[in-house]
Amino acid sequence: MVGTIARKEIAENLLSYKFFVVILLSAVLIFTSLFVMARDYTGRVADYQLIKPKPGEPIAVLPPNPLSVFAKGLEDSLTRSFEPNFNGIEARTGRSSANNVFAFFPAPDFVYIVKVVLSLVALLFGFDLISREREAGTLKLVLANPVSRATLLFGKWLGNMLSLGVPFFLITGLGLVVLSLDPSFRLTASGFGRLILILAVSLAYLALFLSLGLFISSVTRRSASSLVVLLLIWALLVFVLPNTGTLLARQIVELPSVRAMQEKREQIWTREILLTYSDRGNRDAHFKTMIDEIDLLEEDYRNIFDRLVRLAKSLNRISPSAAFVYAATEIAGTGAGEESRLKREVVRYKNQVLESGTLEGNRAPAFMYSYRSVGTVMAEGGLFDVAWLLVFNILFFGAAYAAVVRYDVR
Amino acid sequence: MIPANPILKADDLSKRYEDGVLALDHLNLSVRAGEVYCLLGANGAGKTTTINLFLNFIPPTTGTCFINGIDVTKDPLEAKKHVAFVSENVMLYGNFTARQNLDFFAKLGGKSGLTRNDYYRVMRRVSLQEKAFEQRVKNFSKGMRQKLGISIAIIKDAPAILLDEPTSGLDPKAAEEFQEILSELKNEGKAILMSTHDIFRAKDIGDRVGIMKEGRLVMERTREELQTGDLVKIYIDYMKSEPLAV
Amino acid sequence: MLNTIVKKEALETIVSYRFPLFALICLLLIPLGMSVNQADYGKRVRDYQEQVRLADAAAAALKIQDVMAGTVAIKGFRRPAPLSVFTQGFESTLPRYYEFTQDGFKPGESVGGGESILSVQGQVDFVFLVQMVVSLIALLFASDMISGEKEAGTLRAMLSNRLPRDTLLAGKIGGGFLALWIPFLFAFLIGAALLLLGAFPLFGGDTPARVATIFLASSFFVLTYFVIGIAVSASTAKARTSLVAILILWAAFQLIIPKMSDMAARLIHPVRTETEISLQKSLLVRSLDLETAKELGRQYDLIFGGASPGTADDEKSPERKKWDPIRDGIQQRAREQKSRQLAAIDETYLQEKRRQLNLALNLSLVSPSAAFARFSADVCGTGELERGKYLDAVRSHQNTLETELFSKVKRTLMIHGGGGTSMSFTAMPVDTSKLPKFAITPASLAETFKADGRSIFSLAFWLIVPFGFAYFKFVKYDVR
Repeated sequence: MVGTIARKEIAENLLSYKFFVVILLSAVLIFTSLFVMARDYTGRVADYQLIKPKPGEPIAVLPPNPLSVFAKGLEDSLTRSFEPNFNGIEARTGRSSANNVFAFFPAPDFVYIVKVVLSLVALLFGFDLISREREAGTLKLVLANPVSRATLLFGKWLGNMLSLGVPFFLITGLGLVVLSLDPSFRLTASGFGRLILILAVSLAYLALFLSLGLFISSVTRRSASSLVVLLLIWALLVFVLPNTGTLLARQIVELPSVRAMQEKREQIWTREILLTYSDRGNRDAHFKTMIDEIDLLEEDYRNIFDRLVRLAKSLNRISPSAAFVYAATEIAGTGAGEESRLKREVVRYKNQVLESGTLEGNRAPAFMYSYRSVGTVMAEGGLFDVAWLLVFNILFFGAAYAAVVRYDVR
Repeated sequence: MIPANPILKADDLSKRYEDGVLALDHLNLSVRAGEVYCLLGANGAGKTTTINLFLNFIPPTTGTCFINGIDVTKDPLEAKKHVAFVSENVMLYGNFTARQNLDFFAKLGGKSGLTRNDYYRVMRRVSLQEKAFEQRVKNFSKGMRQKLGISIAIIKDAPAILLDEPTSGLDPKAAEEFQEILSELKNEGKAILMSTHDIFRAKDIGDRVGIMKEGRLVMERTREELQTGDLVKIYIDYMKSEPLAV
Repeated sequence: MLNTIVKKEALETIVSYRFPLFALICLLLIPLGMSVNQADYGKRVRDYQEQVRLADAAAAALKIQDVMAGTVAIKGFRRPAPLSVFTQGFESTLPRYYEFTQDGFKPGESVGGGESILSVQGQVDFVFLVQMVVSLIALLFASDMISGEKEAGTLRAMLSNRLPRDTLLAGKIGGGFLALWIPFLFAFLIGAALLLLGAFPLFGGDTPARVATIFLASSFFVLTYFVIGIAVSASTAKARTSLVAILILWAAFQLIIPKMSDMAARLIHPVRTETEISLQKSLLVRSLDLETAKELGRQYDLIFGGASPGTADDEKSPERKKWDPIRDGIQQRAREQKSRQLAAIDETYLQEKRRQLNLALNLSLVSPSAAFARFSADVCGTGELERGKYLDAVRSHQNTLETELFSKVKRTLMIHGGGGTSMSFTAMPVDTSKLPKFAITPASLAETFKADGRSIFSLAFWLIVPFGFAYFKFVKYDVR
């Protein structure tokens, strides 16, 4: 019975002009995005070849991550070059941000398209599933048959999920095939696995919007009003809520200003430098104390900053869009977790460089960094985000179920 | 000719809506196989509520509906296997063709394995034009949609048929054709419960006619009884008078 | 008659279930966005002041030897734009400062750089809210103003009176928009009051004029979307169809066109990356320097080759008198050639980039949202205009430093015929405290209007054309 309803939903979608407009739009958008982001990536790879540190140079810089084509995330921040020196670490921005024509409009990566456009598409699929059938009178006809409401709901969900998911996978797959024709874009097996995981998470994200659409369409009488309500919710979930957490967190956690940091750093510096003059015998020891204390200072700052990020993340997760972006970027290795890990690694590298005496002319050790494995990503919060998305799915579908069971079919 | 077992049976059926309106007040009624029962009454008299209760669209406040002996409230899905439904003014799936609509509902009704010819046969039977079989329902006239609605009921081949004001808004010719189909179905032994505003047609078609007022069945007459009396006069009289029990 | 319609439309909008939602979103988010951005701005200003103080202290102690050795950099800072409380624009992506060296200038870290983690989800500011959220709501309110009334049958009822259709349309637009505009106005005023409470310099210089411009521009922008919604509603028979059409239009304007224009421009006019350019430049510098050094070595060997040792250090020797002008001449020529060629590279690159940028901008102006975002960012001093001004200031400061400071240091590298090298430094004294300060001349409001002519045109186009279209469609609308 579920099959019959699902098949009917798919057939109905295939026969409607809305379906074709929407799928065509998504296809154009996804192809262009993949193409442009891939070009951007190859450009960055070419750049990396130019700025790549020669053996012995004390510079830490990561090569561009091919998955940034799909989830740009903090890639710009991750691929900065870090040069350790006595005062700490100097970070240099890549070419990225200065080249954006429109900083007002964020990077059109795959994740963004899923987050904003495809979620809207999912809503368009779901917004009138129940209310339209009531308006057309078919709901009564369907329910006059031995079909339970749960079956009807699940059949509708399944049918629309398939009409949404199959073109989504086909389009993305086709885009990938075209991308793989470009020899400078290569995904490793593990990269491919991560991509599949991102697609799966995307599907879970889209499914929850479909369920939300089903839910709202079964608490409203008219399909036009269900769309209006849904759009308001959508704007809140996608644009507003993912930011308010950050705004709130910033009010709660006070980051020390550059001024305070600089003053403390200067105090340490002056004290230890004076000591080196008065206490010449222990010059190296004083230098070491200075470096250690400045490191500690930076560490404190980073800890506060990490707390801010954690709080902002937890608050932002009120919106599934935020959870989706976190999950997808972390899996791609362009997320906040990767960034903060890289920073810690760079600090360790700095100490390694200072110990090896590079600044006195020795060859510096090379900076080694490997991205966290998918398992680690999942263990360090990724799984939580994915589970959170599933919770939203269950919540919305459950709400839809409760609403459909009570729905007045007249 | 009339077997004793009723196919459709309402037993002391009442329905009070959340807003306190008593839409149906202790209704007792039964329809046997091969019988057409017409429910007459003004808007809001409780005709559609009765049909909604038979289909479990709404739960009854008291009483029970039985379809083929199955308690509708207790086992709605099983009960619905034995009943087909034609609603007033159905739009159907506009982007589907007539055949696709029919196919979908046939499957819902538990009829699988039907061929294209089976569908065509049913649509011919309700005298839908051949060229409309593979056309999108979106552009159908009201009459064509209603015919398709009846073919949906026919193809299910259930012992009971519920019709909710099926002739409202149909032109006289379409209504006439509809009446013919109904009598064929009756002769096949279906139990038919139909709500209608159309007194004349009720008189022609109904084996029994019930008049409802404010949720109560105020009068019930058999065809034989109606041959002698003037149904229009009876109807108007009942509408005017204070409600009284049958 | 018009009054009656305006009143009815305004009332109908206000009593609809969507209105409280809209008012809540406006009154909550707009002031919140403004005050949060103000807190952010305050922090940026404090950081800016501190960094400038540190840089000034360093500059005061600057010695020409430090400049020569490259151990101390001269930095030019950009002051955060106060009006960034209304729109962030490029504010967080522009470098905080540029570093000036003998070999040219390079950008420092951007404001957002260290805290980019927090911007993964995008930003919320006044212009963003108007552009994305308020516009969508305006469209939604307008979506069923005509088709909805048709479905309800009230349109026929109204037109059965002595009521011209254009009056009805004008009344609908006027009344519907008024009902939306008033909460919007209140939200803006509350936001402005919060800014004042936070001691924001709202009444200084041309700030009031700029703030008024932003408010007017956003009001017109919302009206534009409202009229577009009415136009769509008047061209569809069912409220549901108009909603779907409106949604696709909205997505196209907000999400697709601005991005596609960026993408298209990158494809049509591809631009080399900055890293490539700087590499090209440093290769050029190296090869020119090498040539100069070889030439100097050859001349030196010619002059001093036969002379007794020590003559090179004796300023009074005849060889030395011959050598000094030759050396100066070669170096002068080399410097000129170098700066000419570097400037040529820069100029071509700049042109390439400008062409790409212009194309992207022009294409994006097809969307009123892009036009609005661009215009308001320019008014707030966080847009393209400011970026250009910043870069101009950096370039001119580099030139000033070139004459005032860097040219005072001479480094002579020679490669002699036998392959040996020698190097010498000369430095003229420089009073570093007298060095000119780095400053950006902000674009005046008039300049902004002139530079943004195209954006304003696009906004006006999108206001007038849908209006005309709505009129045309509504006069012929099938009310049945």
